[in-house]
Order: sequence, then structure tokens, then C-alpha cells
Amino acid sequence: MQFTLSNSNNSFNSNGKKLLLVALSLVFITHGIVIYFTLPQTYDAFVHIFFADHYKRFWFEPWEYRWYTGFVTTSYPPLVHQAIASIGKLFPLKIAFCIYAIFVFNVLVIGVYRFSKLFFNKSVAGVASIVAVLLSSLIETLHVYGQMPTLTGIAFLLNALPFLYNYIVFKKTTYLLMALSFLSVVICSHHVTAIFGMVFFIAPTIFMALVDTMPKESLKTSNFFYLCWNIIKQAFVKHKQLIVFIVFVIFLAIGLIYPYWHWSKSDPINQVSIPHGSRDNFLKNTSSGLIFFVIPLYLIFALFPAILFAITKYKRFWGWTISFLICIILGSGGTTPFPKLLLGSNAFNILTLDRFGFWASIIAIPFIANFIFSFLNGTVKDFWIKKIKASGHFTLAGMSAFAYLLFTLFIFHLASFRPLQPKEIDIKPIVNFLNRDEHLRWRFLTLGFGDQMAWLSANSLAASVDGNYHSARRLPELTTRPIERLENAKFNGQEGLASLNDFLTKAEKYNLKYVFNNDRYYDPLLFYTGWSRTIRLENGIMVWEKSNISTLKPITPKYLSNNLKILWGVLPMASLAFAILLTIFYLVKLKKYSNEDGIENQEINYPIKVIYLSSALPLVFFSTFLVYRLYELLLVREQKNASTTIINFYNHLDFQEFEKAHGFFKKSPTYPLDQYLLEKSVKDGGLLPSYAKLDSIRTNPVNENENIASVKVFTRWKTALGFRNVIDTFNLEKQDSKWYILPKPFSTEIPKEQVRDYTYNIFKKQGKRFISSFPTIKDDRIKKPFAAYKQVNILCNQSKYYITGELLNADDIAISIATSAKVFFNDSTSKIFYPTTKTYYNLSPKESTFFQVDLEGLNSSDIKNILKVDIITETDVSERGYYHGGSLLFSSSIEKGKINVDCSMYNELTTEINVPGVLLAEKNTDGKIVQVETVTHTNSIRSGLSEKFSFSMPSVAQKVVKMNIPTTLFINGQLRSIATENAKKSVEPSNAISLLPHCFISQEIYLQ
Amino acid sequence: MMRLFAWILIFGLLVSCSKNKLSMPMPLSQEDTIYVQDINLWFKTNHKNWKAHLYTFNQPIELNTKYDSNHLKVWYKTSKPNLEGSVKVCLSANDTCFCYDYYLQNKSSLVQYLKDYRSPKTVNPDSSLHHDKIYYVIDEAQNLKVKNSKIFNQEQVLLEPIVKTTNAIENDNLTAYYVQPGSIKNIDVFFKKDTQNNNFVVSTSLLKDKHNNIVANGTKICFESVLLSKISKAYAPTINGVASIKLRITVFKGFTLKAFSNNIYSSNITLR
Repeated sequence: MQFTLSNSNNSFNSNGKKLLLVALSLVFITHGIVIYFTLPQTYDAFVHIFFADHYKRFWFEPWEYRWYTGFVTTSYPPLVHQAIASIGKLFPLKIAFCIYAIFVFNVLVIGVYRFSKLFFNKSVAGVASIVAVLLSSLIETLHVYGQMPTLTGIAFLLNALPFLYNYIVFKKTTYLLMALSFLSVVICSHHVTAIFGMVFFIAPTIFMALVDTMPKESLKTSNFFYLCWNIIKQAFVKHKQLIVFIVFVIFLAIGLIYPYWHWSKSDPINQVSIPHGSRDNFLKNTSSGLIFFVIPLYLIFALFPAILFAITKYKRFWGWTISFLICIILGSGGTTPFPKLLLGSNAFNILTLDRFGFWASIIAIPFIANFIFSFLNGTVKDFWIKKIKASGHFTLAGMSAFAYLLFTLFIFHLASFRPLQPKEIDIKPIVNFLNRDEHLRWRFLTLGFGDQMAWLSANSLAASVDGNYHSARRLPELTTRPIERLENAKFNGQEGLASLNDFLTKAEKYNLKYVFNNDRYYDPLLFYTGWSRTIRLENGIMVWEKSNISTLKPITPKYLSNNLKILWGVLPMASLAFAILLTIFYLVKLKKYSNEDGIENQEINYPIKVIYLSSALPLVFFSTFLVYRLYELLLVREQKNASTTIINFYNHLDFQEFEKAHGFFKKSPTYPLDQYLLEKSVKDGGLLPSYAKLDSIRTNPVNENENIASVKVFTRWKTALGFRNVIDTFNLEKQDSKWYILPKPFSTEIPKEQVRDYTYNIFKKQGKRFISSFPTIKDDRIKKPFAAYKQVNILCNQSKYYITGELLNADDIAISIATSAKVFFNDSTSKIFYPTTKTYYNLSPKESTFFQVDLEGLNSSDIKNILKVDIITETDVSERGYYHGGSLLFSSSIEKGKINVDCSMYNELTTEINVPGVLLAEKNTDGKIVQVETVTHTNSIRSGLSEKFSFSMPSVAQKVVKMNIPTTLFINGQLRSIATENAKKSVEPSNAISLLPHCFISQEIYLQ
Repeated sequence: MMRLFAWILIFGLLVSCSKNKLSMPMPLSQEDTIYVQDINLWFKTNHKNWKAHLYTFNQPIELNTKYDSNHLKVWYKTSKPNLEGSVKVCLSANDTCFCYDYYLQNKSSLVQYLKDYRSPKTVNPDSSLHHDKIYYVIDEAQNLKVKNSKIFNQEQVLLEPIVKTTNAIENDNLTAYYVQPGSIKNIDVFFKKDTQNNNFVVSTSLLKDKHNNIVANGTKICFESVLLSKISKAYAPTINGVASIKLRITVFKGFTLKAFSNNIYSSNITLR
């Protein structure tokens, strides 16, 4: 086998260029057309657009205040973002992103072509460029992930490799300059590609160049170690080139993005690892396996025999063999223990491992192309024509290609089959809301927006407490929990909701005043943490607001010297400009003298087994995949047995496919779809039917015979207020080999009145009556409403410390209150605590509420160091949230240290109570409140009806100890004391439990 | 010698190229008061291209000028009143400017307005019925006028304990101040049996504060009824001083009921 670098102009070579042109055209008519429509559904496109927006607005200022509480953009190489920002000076940012994406994809296709020429001739390289256009991993990276820096990095890296190879083989400085200019772009685009590219791409290229320049006798040895020794000797021969290259690369890697290294050194990432699907065991979590392993590598697996045969065939490929196999292993995530062993647990938990599979697929492209070329125009074709004639070969080729194209289409539309993001949101109404009435002076939070929160941020100067770039997070509430962002807290289980709860409760700490909610799942949590609905915007987004929140204070940006800022703003784009100019110069002046016309080699003769496997597997793999998808869509036997029927019934309910769910009921003229939906609508609206997500389901067949079964179902529901467990029993009947659920007899309480009335007293705050752009007109300022403390107690229950009390609205108007406890320690430090869900946040005139502030995280030694406690309450005029629900009829008892409450709530209002609840206060015999708790019920209560529920909880009256800590009370900044008549009041044991209705009403009466 | 002569020539040329310094125009009148509606000033000057401006507290005004045989006339006519006080009339030409101090007055007496600020604007008789009245007089050109030998006047006002909204300045709603109702003085509670609808209709008496004002709408009243260990709590806002609820006869027959708000309790009644 001979390898020669050729300048010859044979037919292979002219075909290669034509194929490259076809590939470049294909990029325009496939990716170019589709990218604008797939962009909103991608994971990361909007994040990069946000960064681009930053550079568009503040090119030389790395401080970005809009996410978290500010971060520096030097935490990510800037080239891609600056390039999009530059195009964004002429076009809207989305268009700019698309233009840049098409440009980079074309550079990538050219890169693949040039990279493939290191292995095979130009025709194979041409086929490789077409393969690159349709390769599933690249399609996924662009249209599903929107990972532009990764694509930019690999595109320029692939273009750099032939120059590097030529530099080592031919020692020409021009090649070194070209290689370094392309590598500069890689370094400025994506640091991870630059670092790992050295290992997985540059090292094999150097290996290949060393092998190709070795004396032929040195290669003839079959002793592996002797071969290695010969290569090391050759490295010594080429040591000058290697040292010069390595020194320059290190210099560029440090110098070009020095502010990035400065940031990573001075502000290292110190946070709990965020789970990522690419680290899952793909055999257990098959959906992660599909996204991160199967889709990007399916073609590689289908052609694995041919790839493995070709990549191991010649000694010059061995470096690539190692890279390819290591990348495949690392890309398998947590399926095997090897990735963790290879990377170490720290790197394993930080890196997203799908990128290794991506790189494996890139390395495989020339070998895929070589087999395809052989299959279409070489020895493999000859083999099949001999076997099954030309028509058989044509049919096999056509069917395989058709199956692969269908598979490719599936990936293009993956986001439609498996929605990765919420539906597109029109952000203009939100931007307008933030711009008016100085709403920009507070921070906001989005819920249920997906990555569109980054798009919103890119279109506004308002700041959010959340963000979509988790490496920059520094707030302890975020870094101490394994959650990516608050916006999708419900997908992060208890940890996610706990973190969200922290932010919603400590809103004052972060000047968080507005929440834009696109997912009603969060409504109960927002309500019970003191948020009020303000307005539903034209796009359907509900704006929640918290009162008594201070405006943003100026934050001192992280210091970075002006020189570094200028370097950060100039060098990356200069590296791109330099690479482009140098390429033009190279093409015009030097290309004709170059040595990069591909490897002229003999065609690889694949063994028969490899030909059989690699010719048949693509057809088998892709058609099986498509048939499986079709089977899943159309042919799954969802009612094959009683348990499966129940599980599928719940699945459809969870995805709100009610018509399908109704199909699981036994067909009956008395139970049509209409009847089912009516019965469902009557029962809907509660915490479980409307604000919960099915977390897990388990069935237990109680009684099952051939045609009748009874199944007990244990479901666990995830709600914003915590998990709820439900046990239910279904009766099923078998008909025509399918199991059907027997509808339960439906009985409902019917209100007596046909038309109900209720007199509400609604307050309207006029706001600014005098139309002026001045923020405050003296005559329009409303006095802070009066409030009073009825009691405040600092208590200890075993190792738990907390503050309880009672607050009164002493004013004639409805008010909102914000209570907090500021604890001062002897060492001059202080901490602020808030009452979370254990209080009312809005009070009618002369109404009072209990409250409890947990001093979370304080232990007995902290308590000993407390100097004093300030209880601070701020009040404001309220327009909302002061109707707390229906009338309560309850009986309570305390037995064996347990409080038992039987409760009946009557809904006298004209609107449904969605989450009935009570605010419970336990008092001791002195009338002191010893604990406060909010308890909610799962079913809603329709107007004019009542609902019974019971609950029990531990009594603490006998356990708590009152702490004697100096306490100062403030209301609206003024010193207050507790009225003595309240303090002296004693309580009968029978009245130890006080309940206040504390219900969430979704149909906001204040907005009607 | 020739060289010295050349230097002298160049120096002489340079000196001859320098500008003539403008001399200060002399005012021809000794009056130091000018009237904004009719400014008429005369200056003696040998330069004719003067521009004139009047610099007042709130705005500069360009004045008209006319030069005639070493006399500059500066005049301006308007009907618009202006803020009174010290002003400057400035004459400028080339890079030179001369300013003259005057006292600006409006020629005729202007319409005067009273400004009346109250603090606090909202008064609750539960605490105090006093509030401060701060007032002053200005004319239509925003000039402060002396009233009661003072410019700014302050007095404490004891308001009547009657709930009302009053404009401190007539027809100016922005100046309104408010006397609100106080807390409930006492509560009586009654019930009526509505057998047709199977309800006890429970109502409070007309609830008033200690000054006999009807309490604020929306005041939350709790109706607490008890029978053995069963406790019922129903809440209703007062509308026009009365709060009422309906309780099912079948459920609440025999319950003892009281109504309360904050610390004011009614006596117990039994629902029969």
C-alpha cells in the first residue's frame, strides 16, 4: 500500500471539487432554509444570541448585569458572540445568528473536505463533504442544540489540521502560519474544543505526519513497541517543527483569551454539579440515550464494521483509531464505568459528554465517506453487482439512502416530536411592560419560558435573578443545589422547587419584583409565598408582583483592567479577520504551489463480512428505527392487560390527551366523551388535577381473572407545594382482547341556588393621578398603611429556632405586608429571615394574620451569639389577595402530642376555590402562638359547595421554650411595641388551635 | 541693519492686525428697575453691532437692539409675566460682553394663587385629628407673595371627626385630604331565620367608630360560632357599616355565635 501526496489532476480530483460544491449548495438549501424555524426550539441558540446582544450593546465592557446579580462575559470565549453581534449591527439578532450559522456550516463542510483529503483522495473527500451536510450529529448540534461555538471550533480546527500536517511534512512556514491562524479562531470560539482538540485531533494529525515522513523500512516492523520507538525517533527528527508549533499554540491559547484564564483563576467555578442527560446510563434512561448517543452516532454504528476496518488498516491511522475509540467510550456517558475512570469524577461531573460522541462522529466522516464511495463507485459496488446485479445494488442503495433521509428528517423535526422547549412566546408585551412605569428598576424572573428567557433578556435591559449560563452563577441559593436554572425548577425535583422557593421568599434580597409565569404549575407556590397577580399580558403571560420590594441598587462590576477589556474586544475578531485575509492571500498567491491535493492511494478492499454488515446495517438500523417510531405512534398495545391499561390511561391524562384517555373506558352510550369531559370539568381545578405532574405510578392488581380485574393504583404527584400521594382503585373489563376501565358512578354535590351572589369589597389604588414622567408627585403619594403587632415570640423546639407572632392591619384599606426578621450577631454580622408560606401577605381592613419565621441554618451556638433581633414589617396599599377563601367549620383536638383537625370549608364566593387551605396557629395556655403552618387540600371547591378534609400534625406546645433575646419591633421603619391587652390574653385549652382560611383562587376576582 | 528693519516691519504689521478693543457702552438712565412688559434702555456706544439678552432666574430672553448715532436702543415688549428679581442685561459683540444689573418687575399686579399643603393628608381618628397646614401665595409668574407678613405660613389644624374628603384648594383634587373612619367601637349581632332558604341570616348592627362614623367598607368581621368542640369561622366585609353571613339552619342550629373584629367582641347569641 502506497501513500503519496499528489498534485495530479485525475478524474477523482475533479469529482471531489464538484461534490464539494454540491455539498456547499446543499447547506444553503437545507440548513439555510430550516435554521430560522428550528432556532427557537434549540437548547442554546438564545443563550448565544443573548451574549451577542451583550457585545452589540457593550462591546468593550465584559460586565453583564442582566443575569444572576451580574457576571463577566470573559467567562466564555467571545468570538462567536462578537461575530454575531457584528452581523447584528446590520440585521436583527435572530437573522444574524442564522447568517453566521450558515457561514460556519460552510466552513465546516470545507473543513471536512480538506480533513478527509488527509486520508483519501478528493472524490472520497467530496463524498465526505456531502456526508457532513447530512450527518446526524451535525444536524443535531445545529438544529437541536444550537451550539454555535462547538461548530465554529470544529469547523476551523478541521481546516487547521491539513496545514499542520503539511507544516510537519514539508517544514514550510506558510503552513505553520495558516495552521496557527485557524487555531487562533478555534481558541477564541470554544475553549473546550481547543483543549480537547489538542488531544483528539492535533495529536493524531502529528502522529500521521510523523508516520508519513518515516523511512519505509521503519514501518515494516510488526512489533508494536518497535514501531512506537521509531515514531519517537521520528519526533526527535522533527523536533524543531513540533517545538515551534507547540510553543506558538500555547502562547496563542494563553494570550488570545487571557481574560478567560484570568477569570477562571480568580473566580473558579465552585458549585454543585448539575445533572446532564449525557452522563446518564443510556440503558436505564433510554430517552437520554436516544438524544445523546443514538441520534448523533447512529450512522457510525450502522457502518461500524467498515469504519473500524478502515481506521485500523494502516499504521498512519492508528492515532485516529485511538482518538475515535476513546471518544466513543467517553460519549457513552454513565452506561459504562470507563468514562468516569478516564476523566476522573470531577471532570466527569462537569463536562457534558455528548461532545465526545460528536467528535467521534467527525473523526469517522472520512471512513464513512470511503465506504460510501466504494459502495457507489468501487470494489463494494462491484461485489454487489456480481451478487445481486445492478438493479439489486441500486435498490439496496436507494432503500438505505431513503431510510437515512427519513431518519435525518426526523432529527430536523425532533423538537416537534419531542418538544424540548415551551411554545414560542411573543416577548413584545413583556418588553413593553418592563419598559413602562420604570419596571426596569427591579429584577424579574420567568417561569416556564425555557430558553426563551435568554431571548427576552436579549431584547430588554431589565435584569433577571435567573440566567441561562450556569458557569457564571455565584449566588449560594443556586450554586449549592444541582439545578441549572430557576426557570425550569419543576424539572429539577425537590431541589429545584426549594431553590425557587428561596428566591420567591427572599425576593427583597434580590430586588425581585416581577415574575412572568407561563406555567400554571407554579401558581400555588407563587400565591403562598406572597405574590399577587397584576395583569395578564396580551400574549397570555400572567405577571405576578410582590409589594414592598426595594429598587435595584448600583452594583460594583467585577474589576478588570482597561487593557484586558480592550484585548478581549479586539483580539478575537482580529484573529478571525486575520484568518480570512490570510486564507484569501493563500488561495490567490500560494495555493498553486501547495501540496494538499489529497492522498492518492489504492482503494481499500473491505473483507466480505465487512461488506455484508456495512451494506446491510444502515438499511436495517434506519428502517428499524423508523418502524419502531411508527410502532410507538400507532401500534403499541396500550390495553393488553389491566395494569398496562391503567398506566397508559394516566399517561394520557398527564399529557392532557383527554380524548385518548376516554378511549380507555368501556364503550357505552351512557358514557360518551362529552359526559366524561363534563364530569372531569366538575372535578378539575384542584391542586392535583390542575397544578400537578405525575411523578410515579405503581399498580397492584387486587383481583384479576380472565375478563374482570380490579387494580389498586398508587400515584405520586409532584406539585409546587410538594409531593402528594394518592391511592385509587379501578375496575376493568376485558373485551375483544383489550382491557377497558369501568367508569365510576359519578355523584356530585349540587348547590341549592341556581344563581349565587356575593358582595365583594374591592379596593382600587389610583396610582399616579397626575400625568408626569417624574417618578414621584408629592400629592399622589399614599401614606404607608397602619399595622400593629399583636404578639411576637422567639421560640426553640428542640434544635429548631423560629419566631411566631400575629399582625393586625389597623388601617381602613387593604394592605400588603412584608415581614422579616433581621438577626444581629455579636461579631457584627447579621442575617435576614422571611416567613415563606406561613403567613398571609395581604390583609383586609382590621384583619389579622399569624406568622412564623424559621431561623433556618442557625444552631445553638449561633443562638448564643445573637445580639438582638429586629422584626421588621413594611406595609403598602394592596389591591389584591385579601380574599382568603370560604367559611370554616372545624373541630380540633390534641391527643398524644398530635393535633387532629377535621375541617369543612364552605365556598360562599362566586368563584371556585382551587386550592382550599388553612393557616393554622397553635397557642399555648398563655395565648402565645407556638407554631404556624399552612395546610392545603388537593380538591377544589365549587361555588356554593363545601368540602371536608382532615389532617394531623405534631403538637409543639409542650416542647417549645421561649428564648429571651432582645427584640425590637419596627413597622415602616418606626419603632413599635405590642399592645398590652393582647399580651395578657389567655387561651382555653379547647381554643388552642386557631384556623384561618388560606386558599388559592385561580380566577382572580380582583382582575375581573 | 536690513534684518532689523525687516523685523520691525513684521512686528508693525502684526500690531496693526490686532482687533480694536470695544469700549463699554454707557447706560443713559440711572433707573435700576425694569419692567418685563416694557423694557426700554439707552446706551451710549460707538459700536453698532451689539446683541442684547436679558438673563432672568428662569429663562434668557433675547432683546431687540437699534443703533443710531452713537446711541444704542435696547427694547422688548410682551404681555407675558415673568419671575421677578435681580436680572442682568448683557450686551455682546464679537467676543466681548458687558452686563448691567437691574431689578425686574412685572408692570401690573398679577393674579395670585394660594398653595395649600396638608400633612398628613390622611387622618385617622384612632390616632390624632391634627394635621399641619402649610400654605403660601404665588402669582401667575410663580413669584412668592407675602401673606400675613410671612412668605411661608404654617398652622396646626384640628379636624372635625367626621369622615370626609376635602379639597384644601377648591377644585384641585390633588390637594384633597381625607378623614377616615376609626376602629369599631362596639358590635351587636342579630340573626333572622330564613326558613324558605334554610338559612340563618346573621348580621351585625350598624358598625360605627367612637365619633359615630360608619366604619370603613371592607372591614373584616369574623363570625365565630361554637357548638361543643365544633368551631365555625366565617368572614364577611362590612358594606355600608353592616356585615352579614348566611349559615345553614340544618348545620348551625344550636350554635352559640359571636362576631368580632380585632379586639371588639359582640355578646354571644344562640342560633335557634
